[in-house]
Amino acid sequence: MTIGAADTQISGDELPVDHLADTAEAKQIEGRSLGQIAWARLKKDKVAVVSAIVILIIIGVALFAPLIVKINGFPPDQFNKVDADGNPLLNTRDGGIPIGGLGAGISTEHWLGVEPQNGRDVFSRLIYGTRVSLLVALGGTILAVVIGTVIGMASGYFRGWIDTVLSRLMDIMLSFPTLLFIMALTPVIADRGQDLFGIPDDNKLRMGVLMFVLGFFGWAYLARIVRGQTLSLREREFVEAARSLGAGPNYVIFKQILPNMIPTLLVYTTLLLPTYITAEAALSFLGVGIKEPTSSWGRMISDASDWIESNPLYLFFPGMALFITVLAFNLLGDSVRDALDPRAGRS
Amino acid sequence: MGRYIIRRLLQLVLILWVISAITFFLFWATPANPALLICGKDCNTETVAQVNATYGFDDPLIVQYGTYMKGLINPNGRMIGSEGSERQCPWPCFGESYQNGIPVWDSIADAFPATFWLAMGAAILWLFGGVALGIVAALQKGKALDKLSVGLALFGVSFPTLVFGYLLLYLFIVKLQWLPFPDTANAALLTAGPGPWVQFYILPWITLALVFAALYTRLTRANMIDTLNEDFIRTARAKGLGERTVVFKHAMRAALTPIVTIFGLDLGGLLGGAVITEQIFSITGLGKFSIDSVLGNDLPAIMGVVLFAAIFIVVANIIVDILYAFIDPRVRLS
Repeated sequence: MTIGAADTQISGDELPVDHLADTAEAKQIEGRSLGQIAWARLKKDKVAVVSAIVILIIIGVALFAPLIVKINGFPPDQFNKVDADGNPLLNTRDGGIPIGGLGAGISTEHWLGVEPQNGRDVFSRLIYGTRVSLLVALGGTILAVVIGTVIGMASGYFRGWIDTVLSRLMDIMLSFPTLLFIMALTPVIADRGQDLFGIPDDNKLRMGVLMFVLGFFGWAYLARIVRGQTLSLREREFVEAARSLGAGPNYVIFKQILPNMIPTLLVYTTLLLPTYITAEAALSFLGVGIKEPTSSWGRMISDASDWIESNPLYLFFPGMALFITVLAFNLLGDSVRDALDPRAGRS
Repeated sequence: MGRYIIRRLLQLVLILWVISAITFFLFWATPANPALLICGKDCNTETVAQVNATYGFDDPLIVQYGTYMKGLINPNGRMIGSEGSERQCPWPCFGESYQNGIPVWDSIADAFPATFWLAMGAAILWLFGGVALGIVAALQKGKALDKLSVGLALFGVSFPTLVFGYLLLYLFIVKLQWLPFPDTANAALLTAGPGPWVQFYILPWITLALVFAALYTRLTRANMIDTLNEDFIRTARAKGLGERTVVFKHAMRAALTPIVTIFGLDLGGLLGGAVITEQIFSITGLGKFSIDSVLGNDLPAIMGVVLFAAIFIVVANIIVDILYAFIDPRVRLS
């Protein structure tokens, strides 16, 4: 699970085309044209192209964070007290507020300034924060989509008591106060990982736990959608035709229903990613997500909120990073949805 | 209809029971030794054993769960504390906080009004703002006003509460100084008076309402556009009804039904606490209470607030379903 995997998912690739093309013969023409029309629409949609480029840049930043920071020269958790000429960066008498550079210590060395008190480079921390943000969101999204698809398809395809049990499970999951639960559970699980598996409660574990809880509490809604679509897809003629020729449930599920589900999954994925990016930031902001010294946008915002009266710039940088990322994903998500479903939004 | 309501109410009890069990076993199975948390700094094996005995931490989990549920079901609550210092924990007994010994229910009851006013004010803002903008956009489809509201909605959806809240705080409190810094004394309408009360809540209301308003704008617009293309609208126009009647009496009723559903669920969810908004604006509501409980490892408090919030979500679900059954007879017959 690397971040690179994201661009195949996000940039609205030709997956639907390929899969739809080799489903049952009867569906070939309509299936292929839907995928191709969507792809053509996406390429023509300027908003989609721009946001895709922005997202690729953000992914690149996350992937090459160590390289970028090397150019900058300040590791994200290094405490910088003096600049290259040996002049102090922080005013020790004034609560450790950076000297000069709009009061944030912005200079040719520290492009976005340094943090008050400890002098860590804001730019480097922002760059590394991208990693955490995207990784957690991607992990959580993949987990939610996989669980949601499996449970939704099982429920819709097998029906009967399996459907009853799984549908009740979805009801229960949807009745949980999700944010509260995730908030309460993250420290508990991180703690338990330490106890049971001997994994120290560091930020690698925390990131894993965040992905797990986000995914685990986020699948139920998708499962409902997938269940509904499976229910209607399994009654379609091409499925009936395959069955009458002797196709088993494996063939129908994986070769016929799943490929037709891909547009839905694609749209849901692109819209779930920004939700989880925000969620990670929120949890870290509240102090139950990523902890010091690993940098996360949410933590940066939380730290910066102490300085809102003296200097809003500390808040501005991580806030903008979060906003731009979420906006880019939302814009692309909307475009993908519009491209795949001509009725939505434009009609 | 009566049977439908009874069936749904039974489901409500069942779901709440399952949630309580899951929550209890998840949190009580944690290795964080509650006895150590309670006896504080001067812990030795003896005091720990004593605390364990008093609170029943030595009992099997299932017994502890039984005791806990007794406090919620029995109208007299239950007794808590050690022999000699036993005291009555009146219904609904969620136990006592590990941090300060205050009954959890009292803290929840104290925190709830702030969350309630926050959620209500925001709900009014987003409901009217979002729906109005959505309708205008749908009626002006493709024109400048439509594009503006679609853009605004996208902007709103993408503005994380975290960032938007601090932006408002900085702009109106720090920079322009139009509003004073949040003072929790102004959270209560009766003691603070309406002026300071509104000043206290106005930014949190806007912060909380933004995302919802954006979502409702989109939803209303999409529903309205779909409805305006329906046959019955064409029929209404063909009958010679005025455009105003067609839009406000015929189209709006059909287009807004799904909004009612979602509104109920959103509001139900928020009454359990708006953690981020409360944290930004120092509102001592349920959200703040829950995050403080989480950070303080205060299991009874966490458990209490999770259950309390779940009740709102489940009840909102039921109300919405019943309302829907009234509106749409097909639902209750299935």
